[in-house]
Amino acid sequence: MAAVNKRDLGAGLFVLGIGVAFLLWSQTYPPRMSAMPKLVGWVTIVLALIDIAAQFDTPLGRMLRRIAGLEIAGRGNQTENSADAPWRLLIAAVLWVVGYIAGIYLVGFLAATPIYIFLYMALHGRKPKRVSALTAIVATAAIWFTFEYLFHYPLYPGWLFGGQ
Amino acid sequence: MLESTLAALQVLFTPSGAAFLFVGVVIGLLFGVMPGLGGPTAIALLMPLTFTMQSNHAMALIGGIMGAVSAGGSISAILLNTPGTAPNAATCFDGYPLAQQGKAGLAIGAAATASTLGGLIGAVVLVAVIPVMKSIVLLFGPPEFFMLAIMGLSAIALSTGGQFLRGLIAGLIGLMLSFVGYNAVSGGVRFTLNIEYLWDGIPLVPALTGLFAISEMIALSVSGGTIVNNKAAGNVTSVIDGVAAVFKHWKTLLQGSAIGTLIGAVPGLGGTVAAFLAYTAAMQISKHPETFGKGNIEGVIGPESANNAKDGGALIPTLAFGVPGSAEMAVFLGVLVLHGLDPGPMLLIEHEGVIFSLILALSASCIIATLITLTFARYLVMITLIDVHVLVPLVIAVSLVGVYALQETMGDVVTAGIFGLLGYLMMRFRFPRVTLVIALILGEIAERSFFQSLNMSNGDWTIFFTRLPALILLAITIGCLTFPAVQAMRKRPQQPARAE
Repeated sequence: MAAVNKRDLGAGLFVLGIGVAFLLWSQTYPPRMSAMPKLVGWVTIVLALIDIAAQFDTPLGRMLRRIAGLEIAGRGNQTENSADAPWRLLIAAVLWVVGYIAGIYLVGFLAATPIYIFLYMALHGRKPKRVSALTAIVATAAIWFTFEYLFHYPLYPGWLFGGQ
Repeated sequence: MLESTLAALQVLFTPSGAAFLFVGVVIGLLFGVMPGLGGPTAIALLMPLTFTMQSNHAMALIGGIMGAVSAGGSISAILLNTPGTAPNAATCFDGYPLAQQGKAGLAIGAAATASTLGGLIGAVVLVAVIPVMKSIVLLFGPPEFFMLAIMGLSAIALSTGGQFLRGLIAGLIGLMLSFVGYNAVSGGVRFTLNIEYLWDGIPLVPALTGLFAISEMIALSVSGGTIVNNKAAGNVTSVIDGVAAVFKHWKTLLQGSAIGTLIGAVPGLGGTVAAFLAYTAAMQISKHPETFGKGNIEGVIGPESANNAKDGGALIPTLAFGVPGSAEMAVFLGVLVLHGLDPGPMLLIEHEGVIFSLILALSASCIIATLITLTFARYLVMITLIDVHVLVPLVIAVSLVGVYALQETMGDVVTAGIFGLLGYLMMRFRFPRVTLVIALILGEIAERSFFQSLNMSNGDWTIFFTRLPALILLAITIGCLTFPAVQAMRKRPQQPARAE
């Protein structure tokens, strides 16, 4: 009995884990506070088990896939369907966002934004350094003008410069 | 009423009145286009500036903003898959695939037209129901709110197309997230991991920005190229086709406008719920429901008509009872108070002219915003041809700045980042994001209304089945849930016949 799709099986197991963990966490609260969360936890576990069972090439699995719509899953638009992108590229894309947020936290928006835009375009996008630098400066200036100058929104100055 | 309308028209068509309206429309469009901002931010920002204005001029300015925000939000939803405002999120599902197919002009034309007509319908309904506002709003008690939330949650099952099971699972995860924070029923906090920031629950705007803007940028960063898949797709269709499409799908327009007006009038639900319900309802009446999520123009018309129609509906409880139907209305309430206009039944009697100034400004702004959008759509669609490695850092930067500007807390920025990753993983493993969003919005309402209803009835469950409005909502819910199954059973025997 082999799984039809190991990646989907992994997703089902992950959801099962979330359901179990949430149910156990719900138990730590008083009855009135945990009534709805417990119900949601139980239903999640049941649906996760159905999802897992649907991943196996058995009569039950085939029937469940047909009913649950899993066989036609993934026919959505391009971005809903980005399941085949290599993990290496995904990790790189996520690290850029994480790095930018960490940069904002440390040195604030007005310093982190031009650095992020320049580095992303020049290193990740392989754009000419002059174009990258110009885009970074213009974008940061536009953000500063719109948010701080025009609408008086104080942008986060960064932990190193007194931000909390 | 006629005298008030004429007086309001006179104010609106003075140079200063028209100028305030136009400024409001432009600001509304800009705030709508910029992800993370939106109507509440724009109105809150300009509220102090209206203090020295005449009330009618203030209403022209604020009405201009309210009518234009959703038109602006639809542009970024269609071109970038980034909802400019939360209610525009439903427009992403079919607007963005249309942009990817090179039909951004079609989508923008349809969105702008549907938005305008929806707004006008909402305004007409508002004028019509002003005399009977009180009795309409008083029909809704906690049991009706609970049933309304269940009706919204039942839409989860319908809105997932071919991903029924995973749509339900994503909805359950959305419910789990909606339980985070202070629980009004018991007075305690839950699932916060002792993080003080989470005591108020997961903030919706950062979560939506992460799920739809950041995750999309991560996906684009991974795929590279341009938003439009191929060179042929770069041929932008005429926006006029989009305008015509709205009239072709007039049933979807009317249905979306009706849902927008109705949901907008129910305090606490707001435009996001209205737009998602209109989307699922559009899918229900469509001849091609299987193409939803892949670029069906009806999936743009439905939510966009509801988006603007909700403003008319939301003004009903705001003006009549001082109960805001949405965040935007809550801020607008502040403007009314600032001008000495105490919301309530007396407002309509003592300041009818001001109210009609607002309604006329709202209607006129819908038309002006549409004209601006349609005129510049050809240039706006060029965004889809920009290299993603230029677009991605710019959108992420503007999104995160916008998210921070709302409450000036870094927690919102981190939340957007976390939800961005969650949104991408959901795409990768084919869990629909829309169901998570619906559940996140409705979870708190459902739980609170459920316990309030039981408190009202001393624990008697029959309260949900003995009140007519609740029963009607229950019947609609059952109808929504069973209709697709019945439809599938009716279609099944026909398939072999076609094959033969």
